[in-house]
Amino acid sequence: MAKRLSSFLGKTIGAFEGGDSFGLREIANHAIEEAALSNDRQLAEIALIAYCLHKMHSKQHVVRHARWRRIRKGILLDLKKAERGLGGGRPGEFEKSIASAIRSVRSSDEMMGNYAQNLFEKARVKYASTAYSLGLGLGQAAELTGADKKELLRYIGVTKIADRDVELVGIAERLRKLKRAIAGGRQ
Amino acid sequence: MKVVFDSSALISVSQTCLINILGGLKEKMNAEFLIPQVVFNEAVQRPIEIKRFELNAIRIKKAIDQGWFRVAKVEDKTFFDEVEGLANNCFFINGNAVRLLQAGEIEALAIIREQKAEALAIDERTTRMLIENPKQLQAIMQARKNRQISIDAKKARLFGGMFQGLSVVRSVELIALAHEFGILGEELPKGPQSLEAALFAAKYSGCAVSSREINIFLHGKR
Repeated sequence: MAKRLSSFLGKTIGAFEGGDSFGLREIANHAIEEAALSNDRQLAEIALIAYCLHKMHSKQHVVRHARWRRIRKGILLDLKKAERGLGGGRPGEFEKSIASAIRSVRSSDEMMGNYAQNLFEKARVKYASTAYSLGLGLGQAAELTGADKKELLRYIGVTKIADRDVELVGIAERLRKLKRAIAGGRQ
Repeated sequence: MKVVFDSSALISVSQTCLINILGGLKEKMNAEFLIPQVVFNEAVQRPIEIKRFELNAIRIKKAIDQGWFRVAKVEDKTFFDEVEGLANNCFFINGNAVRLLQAGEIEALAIIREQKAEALAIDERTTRMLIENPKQLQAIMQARKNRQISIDAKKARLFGGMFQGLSVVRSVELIALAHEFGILGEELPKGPQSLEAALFAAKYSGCAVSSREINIFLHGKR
């Protein structure tokens, strides 16, 4: 588990240092799939961070902001500290540094972003939706990324997930079964 | 009859501003509507403190205060453990169990068992497929993950057997029933357009139903 976490974290650091915005998104997408399969919340956090860094990196008003270099340096420092904590078998240091990186992402988005809803919160919902599309239940998907269930449900509603899942029992048949149940208990 | 509501169905109906139809449905169906305690916390207790979600939470709270719903707890934890043990140990990847369901869905299922409920109202598709057709869920997971997902057929059968005969409905079926009972007409102008609009509103609020399914249903009614 720690080895996989370390690998994803290392890749995220490399891509962020190298300014590889597309690479960050790829890492995030891959990490959330792995996290969903193994119910790994720490890996889900790495996915969220990588996705937010990708989004920040792709926005001109962010990378041209006077404070961006300083913020970027701070986030990198936190991520490297987390990597050292993980490698050295110090989970406390890892968790603390990841939490600090998340705080930096949140505060910089509040300072430079254009939306009331924080980028990190949006990432939680987006990736919970990915976990749901992969087969997890709604609650489990929300819990994995810390997304709000109502936000997640609304987000899923405007995706094509339900149109892709082939339903074998349609509305009319479910309605018939419900009416039978109303008429006389379980059939 | 008893109908247990998962948070997904409750939230979708409330988000479409159609929660009032549930009061009429309860009466017409001569049913008792139950909300698990965890669902109550998720849909009312926590969101009522958050400005963005407050309105929806108030709507649901009002429905509870009016007696349309009863908040229920699992009295015998064995039911919860049984459901969780099977639901989260049916699918495997590389020999490791995939955790599919969380406390809210598990509690809803445990209450169905404990209270011998006849129906489950749920808008998310994983729990529904796990009950009705685990092989289909396996196929979806395999296709999306592009990996071999194995299934413990015995556990899946046992799980499905616990809910044999259970009527699993989504908010779209509740809306369709409300339409048939004439209850939808109390909320919206009478006529097919209102039904169509309400069904699609539920879909866009997160109900796991495809546009095709809705269109087939509406076509059959014409």
